[in-house]
Amino acid sequence: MMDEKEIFEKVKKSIVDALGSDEKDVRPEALLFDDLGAESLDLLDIIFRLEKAFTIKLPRTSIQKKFLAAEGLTEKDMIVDGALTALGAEKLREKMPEVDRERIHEGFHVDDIPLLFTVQTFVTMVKWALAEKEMAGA
Amino acid sequence: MNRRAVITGLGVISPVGIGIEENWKHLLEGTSGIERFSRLNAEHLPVVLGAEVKNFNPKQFITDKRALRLSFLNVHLALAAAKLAVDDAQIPLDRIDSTRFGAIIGSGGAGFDDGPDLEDLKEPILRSWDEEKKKFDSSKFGAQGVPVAYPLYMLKCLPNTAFYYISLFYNIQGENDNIISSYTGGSQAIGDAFRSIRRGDADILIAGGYDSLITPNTIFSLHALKMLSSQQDPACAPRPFDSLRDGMIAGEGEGFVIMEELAHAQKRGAHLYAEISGYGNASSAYHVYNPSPTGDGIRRAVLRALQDAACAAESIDWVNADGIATQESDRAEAHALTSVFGEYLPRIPVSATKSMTGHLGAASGSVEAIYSILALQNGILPPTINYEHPDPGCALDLVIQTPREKKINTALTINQGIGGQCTALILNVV
Repeated sequence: MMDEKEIFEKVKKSIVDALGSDEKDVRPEALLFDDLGAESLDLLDIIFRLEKAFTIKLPRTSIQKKFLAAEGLTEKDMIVDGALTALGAEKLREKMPEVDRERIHEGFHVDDIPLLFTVQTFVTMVKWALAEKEMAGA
Repeated sequence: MNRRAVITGLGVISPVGIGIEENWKHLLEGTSGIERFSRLNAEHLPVVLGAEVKNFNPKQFITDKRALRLSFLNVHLALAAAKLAVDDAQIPLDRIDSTRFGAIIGSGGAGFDDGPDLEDLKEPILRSWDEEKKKFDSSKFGAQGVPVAYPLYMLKCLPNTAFYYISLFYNIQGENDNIISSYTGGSQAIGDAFRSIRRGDADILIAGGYDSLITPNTIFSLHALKMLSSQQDPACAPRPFDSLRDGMIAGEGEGFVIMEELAHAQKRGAHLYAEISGYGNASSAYHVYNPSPTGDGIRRAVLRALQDAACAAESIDWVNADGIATQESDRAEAHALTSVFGEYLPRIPVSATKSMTGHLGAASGSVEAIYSILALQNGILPPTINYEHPDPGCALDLVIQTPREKKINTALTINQGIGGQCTALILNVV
């Protein structure tokens, strides 16, 4: 299993290649949209590059749902009319500890979850996918 | 009373330079932009000479990272030339009506080798192969190829990528078109922009074309059609209208003009380079890549432009010829000029600037229109270089080797392309 530093370096390279950002700006806490100037189509690009770099599969069009999957709970428990329930907000805070807790609240629109993504979020995402891959292999 | 269209900004990038000053200086010096290929390995190609744009750094012109990343050299050059034109015209972007600001662009098809990574398509295509039928299966491509294809591949390959970024950068919300035709896209764009202003559909437009023929597939294809020069010495080709010509030189370039309705331009105190007074467009309907030997398509395009401009044939002071340097095309053009101008032809000087720039594909028409505008402004006609051996089939008063000083009021510029499309533009001093 790759260590976190190794994962971060490869994630950084994928982001730099996709966004044309300066390497020094791609810090773990940098927000993808607000700090690095990405837009939604860049998300597709980054995910594609991560899939290639780590030989993993990530959901391309509904990556945000990945953050709302929790054992024993269904989508209905988490989302109503496209917005987070109180429980959904709580679960999302757990899944995204790197994000300011105040930003995640009941009523937060699920489609806006990518606005919360930082570089660290992708590191986490890759770690999950690598663990899933290892499980599947084992 | 017709609404009149004037040119208020010029942006050009070609093998002889970046910007109007460098282009004009080199044209008047007779400096050729033709060299051995530097980007491609000539040893792998059937020809060795090409006309590449030199010393181009896209980051000097384009700050949008997405535009840099999701397009390729050909489009970068187009965005740079468009910026040169917009800057030259000093358009007050925050004060014009953006819904009356248009863009008509002739795009070239080549250049994919530079950007969208073809290797990204390898796996998707392999997964789409039906081994039993020995053919590509588009359903398999959809089901198994697309999921592993680079998701933004399509965005890189759109034929109107340059149009999109130009409209985005300059908030162009009005009349628009993206023309795909072989080598007349740039002149058709200018002609259509002119018509748009006349009709009253726009007050200001950016119009022109961009293209690169410098890709291996284009070069092999044109070579197979016997259209390219096999010369080894860059100082000897191409040779428009010379009896020893042996074909065109593949080049690349971009030319955009800012065109405005006269009163619109005057009101904002714009510099008026020239007026466009006539546009003619016709088709040969003859052979896919050989022009009609009588030059019939060109003849009708020129006659239509003259009629459009209400201009007598004898009023044309100079012709900026297509002059691609194949025997068939040069003779067809000379034939057309003879049939239109008859007894006046010996008094009309003719230049073929492709002798210095090579063939700029879809950009030819707009770059050569810009050269015509500079000739009108400066009263100097650029030369046709590499001309030594007169061809009796092309009895023209060619401006050869050195420029000719001559005050001119009206210029005609001609273009034709594979597929038989022909254009003629008439430009005047304002």
